[in-house]
Amino acid sequence: MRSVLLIILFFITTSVIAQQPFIKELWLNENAAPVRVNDLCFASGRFLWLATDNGLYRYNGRSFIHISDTLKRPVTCVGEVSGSIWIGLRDGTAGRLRGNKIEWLNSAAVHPSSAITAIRGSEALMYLCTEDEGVYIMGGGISYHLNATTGLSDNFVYDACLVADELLLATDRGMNRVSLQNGKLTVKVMTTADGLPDNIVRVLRPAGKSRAWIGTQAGGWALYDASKKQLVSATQADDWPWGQVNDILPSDSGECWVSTEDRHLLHVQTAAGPVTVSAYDCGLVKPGKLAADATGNIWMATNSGLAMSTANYAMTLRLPSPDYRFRELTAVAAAGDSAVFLAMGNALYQLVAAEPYGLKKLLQTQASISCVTVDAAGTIWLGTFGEGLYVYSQNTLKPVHGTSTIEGSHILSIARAGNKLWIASLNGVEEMQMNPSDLSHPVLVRHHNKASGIGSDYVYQLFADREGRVWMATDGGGVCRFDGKHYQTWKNEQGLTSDVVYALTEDAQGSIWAGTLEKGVFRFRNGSWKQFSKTQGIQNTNVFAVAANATGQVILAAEEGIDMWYPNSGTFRHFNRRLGVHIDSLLTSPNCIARTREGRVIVPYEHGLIWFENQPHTYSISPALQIDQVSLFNKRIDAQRHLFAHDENHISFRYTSSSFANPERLNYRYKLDNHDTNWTYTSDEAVSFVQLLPGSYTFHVQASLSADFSRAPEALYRFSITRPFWKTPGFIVAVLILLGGAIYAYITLRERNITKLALLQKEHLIYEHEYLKSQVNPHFLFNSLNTLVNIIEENKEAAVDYTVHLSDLYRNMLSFKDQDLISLEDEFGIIDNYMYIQKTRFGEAISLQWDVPPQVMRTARIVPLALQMLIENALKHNIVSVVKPLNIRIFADEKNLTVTNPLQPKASKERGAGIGLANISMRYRLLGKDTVRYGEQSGAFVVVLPLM
Amino acid sequence: MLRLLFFSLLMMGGLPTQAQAIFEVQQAEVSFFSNAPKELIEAVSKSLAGVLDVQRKTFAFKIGISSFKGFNSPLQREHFNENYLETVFYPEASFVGKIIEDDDLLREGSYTVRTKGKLKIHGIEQERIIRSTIKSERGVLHIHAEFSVLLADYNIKIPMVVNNKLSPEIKVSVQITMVARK
Repeated sequence: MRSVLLIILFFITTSVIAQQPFIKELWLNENAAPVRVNDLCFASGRFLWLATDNGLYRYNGRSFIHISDTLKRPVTCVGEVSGSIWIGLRDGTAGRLRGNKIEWLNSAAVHPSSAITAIRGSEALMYLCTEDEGVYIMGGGISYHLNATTGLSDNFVYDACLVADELLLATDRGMNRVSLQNGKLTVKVMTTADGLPDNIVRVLRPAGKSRAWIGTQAGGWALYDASKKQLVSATQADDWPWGQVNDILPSDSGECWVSTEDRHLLHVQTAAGPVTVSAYDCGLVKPGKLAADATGNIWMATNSGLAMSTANYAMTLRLPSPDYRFRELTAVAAAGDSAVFLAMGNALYQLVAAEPYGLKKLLQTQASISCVTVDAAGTIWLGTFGEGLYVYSQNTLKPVHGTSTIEGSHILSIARAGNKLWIASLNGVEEMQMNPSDLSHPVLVRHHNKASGIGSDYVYQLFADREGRVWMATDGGGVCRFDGKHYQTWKNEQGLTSDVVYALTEDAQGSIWAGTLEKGVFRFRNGSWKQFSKTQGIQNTNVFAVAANATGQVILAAEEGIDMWYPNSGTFRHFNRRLGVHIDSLLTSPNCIARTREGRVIVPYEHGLIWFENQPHTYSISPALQIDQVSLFNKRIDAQRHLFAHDENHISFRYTSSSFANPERLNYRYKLDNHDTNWTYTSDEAVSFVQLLPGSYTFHVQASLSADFSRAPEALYRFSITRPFWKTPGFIVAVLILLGGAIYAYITLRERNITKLALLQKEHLIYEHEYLKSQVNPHFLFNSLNTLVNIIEENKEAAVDYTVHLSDLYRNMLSFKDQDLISLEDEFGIIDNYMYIQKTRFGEAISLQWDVPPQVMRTARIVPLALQMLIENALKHNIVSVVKPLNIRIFADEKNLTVTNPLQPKASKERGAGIGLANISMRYRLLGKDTVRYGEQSGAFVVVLPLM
Repeated sequence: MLRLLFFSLLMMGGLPTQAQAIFEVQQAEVSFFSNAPKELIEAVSKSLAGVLDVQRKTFAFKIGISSFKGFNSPLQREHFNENYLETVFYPEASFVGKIIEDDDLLREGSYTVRTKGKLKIHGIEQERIIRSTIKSERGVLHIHAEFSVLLADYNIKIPMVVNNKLSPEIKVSVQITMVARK
């Protein structure tokens, strides 16, 4: 028991100083209760999907969105199969994500009841691996179930991987190779007998087209080649100190990351020559499943959430205080990865991993060290504050002599180029020829200063480019380049707007970068300088140090943090305290940065050194953007819908972007074409447009990590709001036509009425005139009065009676003449009087017979005085005598009244013949009634009047 | 799950033909160590119960958490039971699973096997593969296993004040003697 204890103690106290990636742990939920992440996957590079004990989450670099369909249901695996996110649950259920809902797999053939361990797939097939039921293979509507009874070595299948024509399955009893032979699935098992380091195979991952990585429980990893049907590389089972392999993340051909139970992240490289395994301690984070995002981060599922590792692009070497005195650090220099030097105070230290605190004191000088350079030969050149220059070679330190200006002077910068040594002091720059036999006595070639043309006597940094030219970062004189003969200076010209330049470097493309005071950084390419400042996304405009790695990235160190230029994305990635990995303090002394021969860049910080790696893989740090939700009146609608009615005019958008580089700097701008003229800048992820007018719109949204949106990704959504139907041109035209028609109809009708009225009035006038004429018809009056005279003589009483009838007749005629229609009863009242008068005159020569049904008599109406006129006409035009009595007959049915008299015309025609009949017909016509018919009919004159 | 397996194993034990295949714990010692910078804590329990079916290669073990004795003070033990392991709610830890290797444990000899199963501590179950050595000697199985338990894996929270006194990783050592059921 004691011995066990001692071993444990030994392991814990020997904390080896080693490079390790920055690791950031994340908690999935706000109440900080750990949620175990079982699996994770990056779908189409946009979001990280997390299968957890509490359901499925989506992570965009900033926040975790819980997919509510999976609430409190442990999700054991997640995978992307032909463009869809599939999840498997502990209870054996599987489902596919559709929008923000899960479409559960509902298959009679595939219904596992044990936990699903992995969902993998190729274009056509999907593999569901289970804990107790082998594997289900699905595709094209059919499914196949493989388990121990159908040939697998075990029912617990950890993982599946399709390589070439074989489906590999990971089990506790070796790797199963399933292939289709002669139409039948055959299973072959590969075990330790075939060279597998361990029988418990837990992980299978594709490594190119025909190879697969195998991760085992106790024996490490192996690489299987499906075309050769054998292992091409494998670890030795008894030489594997890292514990159970939890996952493998293939990164490049023959290259992968391995997470192990013993809390290590391993980088395995098999491509170039011998297999190398670099192991990185993850501290207390036990990495499970792995996933890589587009920006180079490696994400690890852990038992308490999620962890991010920078292993692909940045490492840290934590140096414990008090040996590492960050505030006293003045210079860093590096030759190879194993030759890194730090100057603190007046001592120079070398990084030595075997030392208990990582640093070995190499030498000590009289004064504080101001700058250090290591040249290709491994010679170290040291500048001091006030004590001149030293050279350290073959374990001896010597002061450098040769020129009075540097002896006992402050040295600002040292550069080595070819066989030249360049020294910047407070008196300008010395160009010296190396003396191979005595390094401490170089020969002065030339003295450069303000007077000779470098613009300033103070040079912060000397930088020799790959063409051997020397660049000088001056205080007050901008940048000066000396090509051996001529000076070229840039000071407030050709784009370089700063005259205080701290630092210079040359990037992998051959551009020169200059870090300045308060003006950010400038890049010199093709003869002109381009400024990168806050707008382009750098954090601090006082750039104290710049360095470039071998793959194009440029590292800028400033007080607020480190910015790294990604040439492909055209943006800066930031390393600062907001990254959450304790990069909280950086040096403020100029040029405290180093580049190793391999191109790795070293920047010191509060807790040690940061190593920025070369990035052979092209990472993109641009954010990914998508419109998540379109809402109408705040209700989510199908994003495929693009047409809205006129009153559907309140449209909202919810968009989201993912950034796994610098999510804290994400900002957006949006514009609705046809509505906004300018972009709106915001950090909100939702916007509403209300009271939109009918029209076509395009909603644009862009996301950027800086204020510069020139290369920002864009998402858009087009839609149209239709006009209301009463605003459509067709409807308007129809309405106009109708309106026009109505007006036209009204006018014509009115016109017709007016004419009719005028005619009626005219007829009326004629009739009145005729009537008045008839009233004052002298014959009638004369005849009537003559008759009266006769009667007065014969019978006085009859005369009185006659006079009463005559006056009655005239009164009636006067009272009815203004009416358009009168009842038949009234008309017959007139006829009564009239006939009485005529009868009195003509006696038996005239008779009137009428036959009108009493009902018609009461209800039917007639044009006034029509009958009287017709009788008068009959009397006027016919012979009335006792010999030839005029017998007038009137009879009526429901519709018509007919007046007939025998035709016995007088010899002499009376004037005005026909006026009366024409007048009656006209009056009927004006009343809109049937025409009056009249004429001779079998010896009689017949007039038919319509009744109303 | 645990009860079911226990029950089924016990039932099988009752069948005379299979009697010699079922082994049960005769004697056991389970100890754990927490090695923190400021304090070393050690506790031991001998009340492990369990059965092992050497033919079917299945096993089930359980132990009462409150049976652990040792610690550096009675108060520490109280904290262990009340604050960290919450014995009232989760009185037992268990390990139920199967032996992966195909060795015949009835044959005399020493075997290194891997046991795969669900390790349940503090109410949380984790799939674990634990390497054990089994020595078969005159019908007695001597089993020895060592493994570590990450407190975070089992949702056991350490208060900030004892950060230096309690290791986040607990080493566990198990020594079991098993005999065939009569």
